[in-house]
Amino acid sequence: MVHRAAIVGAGHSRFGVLPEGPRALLRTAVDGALATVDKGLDRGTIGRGYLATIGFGGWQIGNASAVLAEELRTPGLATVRVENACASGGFALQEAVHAVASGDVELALVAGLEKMTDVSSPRRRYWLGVSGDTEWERQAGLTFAGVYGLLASAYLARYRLAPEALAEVAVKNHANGALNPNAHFQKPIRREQALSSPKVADPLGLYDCCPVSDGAAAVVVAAADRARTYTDTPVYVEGVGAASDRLAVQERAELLGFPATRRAAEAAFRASGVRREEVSVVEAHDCFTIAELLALEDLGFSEPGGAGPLTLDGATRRDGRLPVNPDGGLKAKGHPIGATGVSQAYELFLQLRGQAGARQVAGARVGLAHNVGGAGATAAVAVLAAG
Amino acid sequence: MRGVVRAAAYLPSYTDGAVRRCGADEDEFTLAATVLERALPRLPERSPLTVRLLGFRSPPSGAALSAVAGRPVTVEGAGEQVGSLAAALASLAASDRAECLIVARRLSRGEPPIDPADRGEGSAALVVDDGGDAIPLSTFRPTAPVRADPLTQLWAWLGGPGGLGSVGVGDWVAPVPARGQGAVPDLPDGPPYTVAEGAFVPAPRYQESLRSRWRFLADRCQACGERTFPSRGRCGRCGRTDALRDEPLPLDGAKVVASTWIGQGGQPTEFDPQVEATGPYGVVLAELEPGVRVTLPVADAEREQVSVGARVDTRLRRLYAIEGAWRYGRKAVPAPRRGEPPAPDGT
Repeated sequence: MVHRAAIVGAGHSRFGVLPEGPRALLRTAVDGALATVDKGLDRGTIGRGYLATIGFGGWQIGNASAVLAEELRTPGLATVRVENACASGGFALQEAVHAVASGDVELALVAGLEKMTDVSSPRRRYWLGVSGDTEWERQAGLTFAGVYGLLASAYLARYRLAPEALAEVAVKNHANGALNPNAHFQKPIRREQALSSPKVADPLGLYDCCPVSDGAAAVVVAAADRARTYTDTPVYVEGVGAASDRLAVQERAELLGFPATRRAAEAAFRASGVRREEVSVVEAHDCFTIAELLALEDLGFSEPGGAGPLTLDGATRRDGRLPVNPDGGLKAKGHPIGATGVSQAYELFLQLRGQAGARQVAGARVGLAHNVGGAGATAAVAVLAAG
Repeated sequence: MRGVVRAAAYLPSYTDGAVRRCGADEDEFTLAATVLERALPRLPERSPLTVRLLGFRSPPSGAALSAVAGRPVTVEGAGEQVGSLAAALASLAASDRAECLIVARRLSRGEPPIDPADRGEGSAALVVDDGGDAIPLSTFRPTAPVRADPLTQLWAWLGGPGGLGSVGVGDWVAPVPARGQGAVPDLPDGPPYTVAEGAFVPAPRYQESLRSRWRFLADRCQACGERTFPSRGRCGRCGRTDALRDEPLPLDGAKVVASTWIGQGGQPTEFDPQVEATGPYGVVLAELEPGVRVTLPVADAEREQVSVGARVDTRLRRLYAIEGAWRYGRKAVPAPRRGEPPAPDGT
């Protein structure tokens, strides 16, 4: 296929409960991304900046993208914030791809950022819970843990699965996170630990939920025909797809998956010409363990109801036949909301260039990133491949 | 006479449990006193007040209520165990005095609430006088087919479109539950609390949703046949806004299609007081009819009673308070098994 865009640099801060403020996190990610551009890059040539963030930590609600230009030290750069809740990063990446593919700019910078742990717990739970349907689901007493708890109950009941399938997702992703120096959690857990953790939104326990994290990530996106000006090993964006759905889960026809993910995946695979069996590594949106199972089915890597057994069989482990979330996923790496989608692109950039160190997936050539906003209200999928 | 609704109160959950815990008499006095306290700031200062009581078992005396109100209170209708809501409303609307209607639903098992056959028309007013600016009285008509008792319908009507019109935040009529020991078992006692960090759904938007939230009214499009719930004022399929007809969905007998139990900080901030008072709570996704689902908090149930596949009825209950006012919505309660009497609180 004809490539239109490529990632030529990627940077990442630590994820976790961090002392750094949002500007410092952003700086780390952006400087890191520029530093990884093998043949160097004049930051003044960046034509557009995208900042994925839900609320900059819940307090810089408006105009946050200007901070990206400041921290990039390119105050004249046109920047824009992209906000689609937890899918902000995935959508920002796609905006950058469109910008360079259109020929309007040669280089675009995508940064994702969230600073979530320096506000009080009530305030955090306030602004975290407002990306779902506030009128009905929130007023019924649900945050996202509750919404995914509902989905998990329907899934387990429909396929007569025990919670072990959920726990195995947590065990696998914690094992991967233990190999990722940027991860929020770098300790393996046992299945019994996951199963016996306190219930947050039954059937989901504490270990079924991703943590609340600070962090930032950034990637440099170049027009494909110019990519080799910056590096000999670009990671090409083979295809992207995105979709939205009804905001409230109660208004959707089904509970056993996200139609938005399915539509986004179909579009991305169609655009890329890549077949599913060619995918060697997946970054799936596992904000809760149930979400990874739903993702595997919606992305077409498993038949409906098959993701649990697939996971229990070890197929999605780093050394399995379809490694999923080798960086630990949202579950162990952490989930600084706006940063997550960009962090997925960062991980695939490393994996597809063979630079992922201890967590490297052997022979990774094609990767898929899957980023979900809320409980399936928005979804973005990107298929990337080594040059 | 140009009557206006000045305040309204309704004890939505007057259950066996509440009566057992705090005693019927105290509960009834608390209800009446709470309504009065809510209504008084909206009445001309020091003017005498007539209070009509409906459905009380042990009605508080005029003297007791005078002490609460700080003005002379005459109690009427005190002896009525069961009365006609419609008749009381009509009488209120015709009155030229400042009057207060307080309805206590007697909902213990085996004891009828307000005449369940009461399907008449009347003008709705819970506290009326001739002053002002507030809420115009219009005719209250129970919806047909009648799916709930008149009091519930009156209540929904007060909150529904055309009922309250536009009123400022804090002025809109809200049901005021009784204070006292656990009158409503699933929420803490006390006046409405305000959680500063709670999710903010503005009062007008909440109010706008009440026809769907309280009455489960869907919009049926006469042009294309699509049914849209919750109501959004336009057809979800063809987009028409001028061909919608109210279509009530069943309030009872919904099927649980998903079920969770919230604890350990999984609740939104505005539910913190409830969790502190009563611990983890349930939320279900209930299918009212095939393809029509609604998210409902759970009341008066154990976890296993509302698991996937279970049947639930719905009851109007407090959700939480924000900006000093209670928010109300339907909650799911376990549906009685065949042959069992229905749950108390037949709202």
